[in-house]
Amino acid sequence: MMKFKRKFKHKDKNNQISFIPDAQRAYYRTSSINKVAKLQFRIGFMLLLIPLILFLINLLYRPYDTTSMNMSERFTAPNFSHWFGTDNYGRDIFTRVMSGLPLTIFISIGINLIGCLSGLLIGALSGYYGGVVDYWGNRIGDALLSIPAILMGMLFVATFGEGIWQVIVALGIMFIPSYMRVIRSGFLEYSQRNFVKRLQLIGASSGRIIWRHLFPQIRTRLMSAIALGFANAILAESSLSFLGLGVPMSQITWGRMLKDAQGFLFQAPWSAIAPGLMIVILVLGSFFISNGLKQFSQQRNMT
Amino acid sequence: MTGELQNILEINNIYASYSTSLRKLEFVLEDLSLVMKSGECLGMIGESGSGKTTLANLITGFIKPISGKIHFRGQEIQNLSLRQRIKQFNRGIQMVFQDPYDSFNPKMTIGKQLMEPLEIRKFLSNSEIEAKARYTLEQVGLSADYFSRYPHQLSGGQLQRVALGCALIVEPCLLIADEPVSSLDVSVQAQVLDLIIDLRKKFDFSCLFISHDLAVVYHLCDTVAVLNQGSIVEQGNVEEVFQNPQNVYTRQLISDSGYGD
Repeated sequence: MMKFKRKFKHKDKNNQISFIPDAQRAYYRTSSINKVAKLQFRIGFMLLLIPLILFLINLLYRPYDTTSMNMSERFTAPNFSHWFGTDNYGRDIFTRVMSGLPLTIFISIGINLIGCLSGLLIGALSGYYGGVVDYWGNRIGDALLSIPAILMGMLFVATFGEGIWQVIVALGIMFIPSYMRVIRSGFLEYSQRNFVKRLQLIGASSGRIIWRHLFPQIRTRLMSAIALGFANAILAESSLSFLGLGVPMSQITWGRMLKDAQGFLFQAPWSAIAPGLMIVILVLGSFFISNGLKQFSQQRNMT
Repeated sequence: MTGELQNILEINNIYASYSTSLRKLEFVLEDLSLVMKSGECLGMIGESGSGKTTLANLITGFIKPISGKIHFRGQEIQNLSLRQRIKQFNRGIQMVFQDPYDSFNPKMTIGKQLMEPLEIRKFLSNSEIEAKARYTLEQVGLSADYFSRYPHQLSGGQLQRVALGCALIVEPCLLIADEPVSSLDVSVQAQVLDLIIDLRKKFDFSCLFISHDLAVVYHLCDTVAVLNQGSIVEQGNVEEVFQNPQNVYTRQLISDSGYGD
């Protein structure tokens, strides 16, 4: 308390020390938002640190092979030699969780890359040009929103067969509308400003206005949408894999592990808990970071 | 000098509307005609909603008229897009807006935004562009420190100076100032108006000055046009119109603002 008070004391005309009450209140008002945002960032990073450490361990050392079976150690409960227990083939779940991480992240990044880039293209054009372009941009978004992700996944698996790329493309397309809306609303807001008119008058091309002047205004908003999209992509991939529409048997992702565990959920609950917990940690971590970013951007808009 | 005799802007029987359906047309500008001589400063006065800003948007090309013709330096421009205009005219039309904070990209430095018009035109090398931007900043009365500052670090008056610099750096023939001082306080208003007078001597441009403040127009302009409900009711020399108004509306406007005496 004293630490804050010292900041606002000043010497008045009579050389007496006094405090500025309003300044203090204003400081607390902005700093409380700052504190919440910072706390969310901190929690988010701490949660994301766990998968990061697992990833680094995976690069350096794997206690067991991910595919070798050991029928004598089927359904072993967590112990010192198998930290997360073993599954129905006696495979070490800790090793499998670690080695499933890169593919899970890769799929999530791929999905968001497709969603974000296409969303950026459609959203920027509809927000900037408005009128007919906006109308058709919105219709594309509405059409995509009306298709359930699972149906899209089934469509891709039925047409192209099981595979990582099918999952990435099918879910990537499903992620376009959410990105499109965030970007469109930002562009719509800023394209009405006079500085855009001024730029048009000096002969700036639409590409230049969109990329150099409007895109930087929505960057923070987009970052928070990406962090949230990252969490959603992991969830969507796990639910597709859980239904058997996701990655093939030979590949390890956390969603795939959950799917395999559903047959013996009561016999060996740890085989579902370990990948499920990791999904929760990763999703919560990116969710907290997304929220922190959002609060920072809101605070910046306020000032 | 033929340049002085030439009309820089001629607007003939222009109609403009924001209605989207052709059946229910409500005209913002109705049968408006206006002549502006080269080198003069024309003040456009009228109450809110009389169509002053619409006229500015028509001349700059942000909106297209329903009928009528606009001649700029002898050429018809009402159907040209903004980019065609820039190709056609080496020295074109520039505009200064009412709200200075809204006229700048908040995430780009003043210097970069000043240099941008020249970068787009590609006539000069990078070092020449920077030198010219710094020169222009000096001309509008700001020191070189402001070059690397961001818009939120400047006051309204300072930003309006930069806005003038941004418009004048491409040496336009015609500058449209859409109520450039109405969001500033009185002492800063006077500074910016003096700056406009000063810059007119240096940069040699005609000025269409839109305002609802008669004192400002009297101080700055050579001629004045009075806009009422979408058409011009009176146009003439500032002294003549202010001292001997012919139209009823003009008389009322002037007496209301205390200029009748």
